[in-house]
Amino acid sequence: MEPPPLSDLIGVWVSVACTLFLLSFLYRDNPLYKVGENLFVGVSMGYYAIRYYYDTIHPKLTMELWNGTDRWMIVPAIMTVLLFMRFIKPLAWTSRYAYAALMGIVSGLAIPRFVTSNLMTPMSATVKPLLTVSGDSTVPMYPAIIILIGVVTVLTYFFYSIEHKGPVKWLATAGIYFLMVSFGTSFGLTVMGRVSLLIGRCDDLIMYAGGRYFYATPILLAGTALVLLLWDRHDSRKQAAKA
Amino acid sequence: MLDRLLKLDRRWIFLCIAVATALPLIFPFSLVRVEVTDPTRGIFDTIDTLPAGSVILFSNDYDPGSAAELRPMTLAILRHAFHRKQRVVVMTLWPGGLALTQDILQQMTVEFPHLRKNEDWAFLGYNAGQQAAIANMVRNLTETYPKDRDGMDTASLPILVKADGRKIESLKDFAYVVSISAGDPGLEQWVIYGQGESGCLLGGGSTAVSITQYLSYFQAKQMNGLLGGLRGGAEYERLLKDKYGTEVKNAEGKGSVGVQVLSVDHFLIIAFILFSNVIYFASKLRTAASTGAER
Repeated sequence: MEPPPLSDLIGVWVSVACTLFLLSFLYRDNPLYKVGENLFVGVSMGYYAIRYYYDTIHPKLTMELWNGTDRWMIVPAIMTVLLFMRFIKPLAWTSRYAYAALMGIVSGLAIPRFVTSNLMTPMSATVKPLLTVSGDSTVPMYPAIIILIGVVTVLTYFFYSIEHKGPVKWLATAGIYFLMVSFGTSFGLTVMGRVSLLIGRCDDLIMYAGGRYFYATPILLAGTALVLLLWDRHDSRKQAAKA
Repeated sequence: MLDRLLKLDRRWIFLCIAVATALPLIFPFSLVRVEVTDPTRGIFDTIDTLPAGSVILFSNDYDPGSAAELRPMTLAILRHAFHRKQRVVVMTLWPGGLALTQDILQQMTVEFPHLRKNEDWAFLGYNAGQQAAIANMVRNLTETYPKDRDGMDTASLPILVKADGRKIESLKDFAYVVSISAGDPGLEQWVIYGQGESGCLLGGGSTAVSITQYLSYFQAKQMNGLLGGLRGGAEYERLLKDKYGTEVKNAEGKGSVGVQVLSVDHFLIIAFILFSNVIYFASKLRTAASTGAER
């Protein structure tokens, strides 16, 4: 099989090195991990800054103003400048206008839509299956009853206007059990997600271990292990000298 | 022995997980059969029943950080759509998703060499503004995306003309909208600002962590299908393989392999949890017994 172009090869070696450097944290905090961490933060920041400029600010603001195609773009341009006024103490107060406009626009856009999509529709969907005779519902009858009981008991648990005594206490306790099931599910899914990411990295490391990529994984793994060993010895000597 | 186990260095557990992950990847095997869930079937059935030539909007809202979980489902859905001769308009709301999406489209053009750019597929690129971008698309697509990724006028793209000759002007004109998302902006914004406002048919996929949040949208019929994490991709791949076999190239992809590794890791994690609990309670019993003997 033909070797990949040099630029791809460099990318593969850098990606393998960064993966191993970051995973080396599992052994203990070390200089290689710090290199990987700082590289990741720096490259991400640089990449996103460039993308935001060339994909948004340049075509939608600078060019529009420069060509005079949309003179109204002067308003967001001024607002953007005002946002940065926070860094100049005597003019910091002017940034409040930009924040006020931003908050107002986002709230106006979000609140009515959020209430409809995240409150009214799910509420109606919680009750609807119980009232549907034809069975035209995504949720069959008996899980729908469990969902309804879950909603009522969890809401009771978070209702503090009356003391949790007698039947209210039973309902609130049932609510805690529903919450525990929910947290357990979320935790299980989080573990699944994290393991999936590990599988992704391992898959890449195995793919780049062959001759096509000049044995990037075994060479860099051996290098990382050697550096960790040397650093470990150096660190223990330093600790011993201190003691 | 019990004391040694109680003080076991956690790095041994990391090593076990690493070995349990790497070995099944090097020597693949089939441990579990993936059962397909209703939310996955929802997306599959929709794409499977849409007529050839239908235009799907596909929003790839994630970056390389979540690619291991979401790329298998992205590839499976796109393979299905292109195999069914549907046309796909691709976009992203994540700047970090640009190169990733281009790479996926490049792979699709290799797997489906008959695909014509701007006729069978088009890439609109990244759009800033998050929910505002979706809200604008509900109003007017070409105003939100005046140019595609290559700088061509979006209004002139042949893909935006439906089979009946009518133009696609806004979100509701698409036959189906799919968002594969790893967070904000993503599925939640597509439901609130896209489906809620335009009534478009919406399906999607997300990382496993967020799936419980989005299941309520599926139950409330705000979405007609939902894929969750690597498992969601594996379920979709199984549906593709069961229905089309070798007709679809690479129908059994990384999702199917990954879910087997996932099962091994899950078995191991459950075994560790059970084992550590046994050790913990055994040590408690021993302490209680020794305290009783002293008295």
